[in-house]
Amino acid sequence: MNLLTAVRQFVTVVLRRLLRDRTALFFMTVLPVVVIVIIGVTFGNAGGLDVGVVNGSPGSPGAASVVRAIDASDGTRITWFDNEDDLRGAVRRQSVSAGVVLPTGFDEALANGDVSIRLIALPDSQNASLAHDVLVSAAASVLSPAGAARLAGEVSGADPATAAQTAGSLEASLPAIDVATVDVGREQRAGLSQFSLVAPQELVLFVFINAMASGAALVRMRRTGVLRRVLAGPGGAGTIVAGVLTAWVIVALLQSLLILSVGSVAFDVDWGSPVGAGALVLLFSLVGAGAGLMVGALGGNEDRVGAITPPIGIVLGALGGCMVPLEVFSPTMRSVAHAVPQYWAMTAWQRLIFDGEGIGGITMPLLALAGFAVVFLTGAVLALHRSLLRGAT
Amino acid sequence: MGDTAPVLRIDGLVRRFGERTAVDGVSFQIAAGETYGLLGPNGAGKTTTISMIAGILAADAGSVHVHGVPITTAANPHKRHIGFVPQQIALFDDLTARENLRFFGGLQGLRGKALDARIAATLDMVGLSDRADDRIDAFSGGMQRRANIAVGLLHEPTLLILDEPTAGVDPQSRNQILESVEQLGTAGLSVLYTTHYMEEAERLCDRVGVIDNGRLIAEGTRRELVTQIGEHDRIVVRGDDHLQEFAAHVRHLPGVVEVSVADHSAEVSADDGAAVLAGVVTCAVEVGMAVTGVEVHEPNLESVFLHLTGKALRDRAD
Ligand SMILES: Nc1ncnc2c1ncn2[C@@H]1O[C@H](COP(=O)(O)OP(=O)(O)OP(=O)(O)O)[C@@H](O)[C@H]1O
Ligand SMILES: [Mg+2]
Repeated sequence: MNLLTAVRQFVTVVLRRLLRDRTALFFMTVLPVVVIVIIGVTFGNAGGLDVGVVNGSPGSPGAASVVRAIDASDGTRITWFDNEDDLRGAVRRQSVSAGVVLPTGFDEALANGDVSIRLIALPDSQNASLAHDVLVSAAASVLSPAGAARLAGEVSGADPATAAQTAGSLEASLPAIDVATVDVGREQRAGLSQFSLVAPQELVLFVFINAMASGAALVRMRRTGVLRRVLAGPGGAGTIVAGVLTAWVIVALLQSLLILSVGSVAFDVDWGSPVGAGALVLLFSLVGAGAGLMVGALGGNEDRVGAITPPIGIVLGALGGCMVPLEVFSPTMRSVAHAVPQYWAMTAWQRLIFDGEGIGGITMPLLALAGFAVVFLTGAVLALHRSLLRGAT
Repeated sequence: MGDTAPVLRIDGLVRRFGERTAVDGVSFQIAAGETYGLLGPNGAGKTTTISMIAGILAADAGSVHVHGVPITTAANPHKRHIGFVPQQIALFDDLTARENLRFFGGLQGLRGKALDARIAATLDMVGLSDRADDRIDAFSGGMQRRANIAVGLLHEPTLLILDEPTAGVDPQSRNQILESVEQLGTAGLSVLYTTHYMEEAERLCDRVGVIDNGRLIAEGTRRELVTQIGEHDRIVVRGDDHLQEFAAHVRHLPGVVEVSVADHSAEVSADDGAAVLAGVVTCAVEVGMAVTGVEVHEPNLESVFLHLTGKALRDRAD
């Protein structure tokens, strides 16, 4: 039996059924684009300033005051980061508008009249100057005589008179805060679209959900006896796996291609190295189709599979950085995220889009994705074997 | 593939599901052109046996040979000789009959004009030519059954396996299905037919295997089975005079086993009612009896089954 002929039958049938299923088509094509528009526009036009903060002096009243002052400025939101590297990454990916690093030993430095607060922003960006202004005024308000008195009181726990005296000496030492704008890295690519993060996020999210939800169709083919009937033909079980997998990979590739095209044409997203992006899209489609095959081989009821796969896909997507940027994750969450393929796909996309890496720069994520594909496919083959040939119900 | 090899030979097939032995050492053969019926109640093991024959279920023991070639669940080009029609409607219900046939035909290696021609011929055979481009989910139950059968016939198998093809079907479709199977049998196809309707087995099958609790408990033509359990055909001759004289004569006819006389009739038991009927009637005429009626009663497979298992073939509710 010519395997290619068999595979072609599956591809024809899967595509034909897809074209006939308006709901599936909507979820596959319209929804991802709509979500990209909504999220991209919301983030782009919020007018606010997302400030990422690394606080090197937790517990310091002075540092806390600066943060409070930033937070109190019009239209700013604070996002906390654990270390400066993550913060830099987030600024580079534009998941925050700018970053502020408060040094360790903030209170002592303040007492010495020499505090250095670092501002991290994309050079020459509108956000950089905006954030600079916010930070300077925040620092100034903390160090103004009234602010300084309040601060000094908090520092020493002294009576108002002593506090005023300390404040006076602090004021004398102004300007004590040095705000430095730091470049976020040599690899930074200029002129990125505001959709540069949300587009790959939705690509990864929806391709996986769609592919995994196809599992319901496989459950149905199993339960109606279509698969057994195929097995009664000359091709055997390999035909089924190869046929269904190829068909679903093609569907995932078509969906990816659609999102990639809409992304670059309508939203001006630069997806980075074509070779890297191509390899990534292909491998991730394989992972998605493999997951669908496994779900379809294990699932007992097509309606249930159809109902639970989207929420599972959303949770996996959220874990993998499709909802919020990976940098915002706590270290624990980030370790957990390694267990989902979306994490690796998002890591690879960020490197391609924001760092301008080629395929060589995403070897590790690609290998991880290949590993997921192998695991899913092995699981699917074993489960199919059990349910079909062994007659397990 | 020797010419002398039976189309199908199964030896000692065993299949367990956990503790339950669904098929317990079943063996039989089907010759070219023969229609073989596997008759048994619900849960007897018919589908399980057939699934192993079609190579879609692994056997725990035993073997299946089609034209002398062993068939297992592994891929095998010889499976092309088998046309498998499962008990379920194993079709894509959101595709048309033609699209389904294209899919399965393609998997059998048919393509192009040959495939188109086979699709047309098969649809014609099951009476669905005018509904070829309607979706399966728009078909009636009987039409779905026929489409299901069409897929099994598409690639011109030499062994057609039908698993209860008339289950839950209206009388019209049922008759159409039975007629098709009769024609196919006459045309030289070997058919393995499972059913729990003994009328179907009697009408269609050259030989019948009776299966119960996973075991083949009897096998043969209807006549062989009936004889095997000691049942006879009965010819009831009605009339009012010369009954004793008639009985005395008839008793000596070859093939007659026993004769009994009642008030207005005589009952003749014979191994083969049809074979002795002429002799019986001639006797009646010779003794000058005014015959008012003659009835031939042949014991059926139902009585065979009842005799062998002590239970009815199917629940009355069926
Ligand atoms: N996949 C399975 N898992 C567990 N038990 C099974 C499985 N398939 C069949 N059985 C059991 O094996 C026995 C034989 O079932 P089978 O389907 O072969 O009967 P059947 O003769 O085809 O019955 P029916 O006339 O109802 O179709 C039954 O007791 C059934 O419950
Ligand atoms: Mg059955």
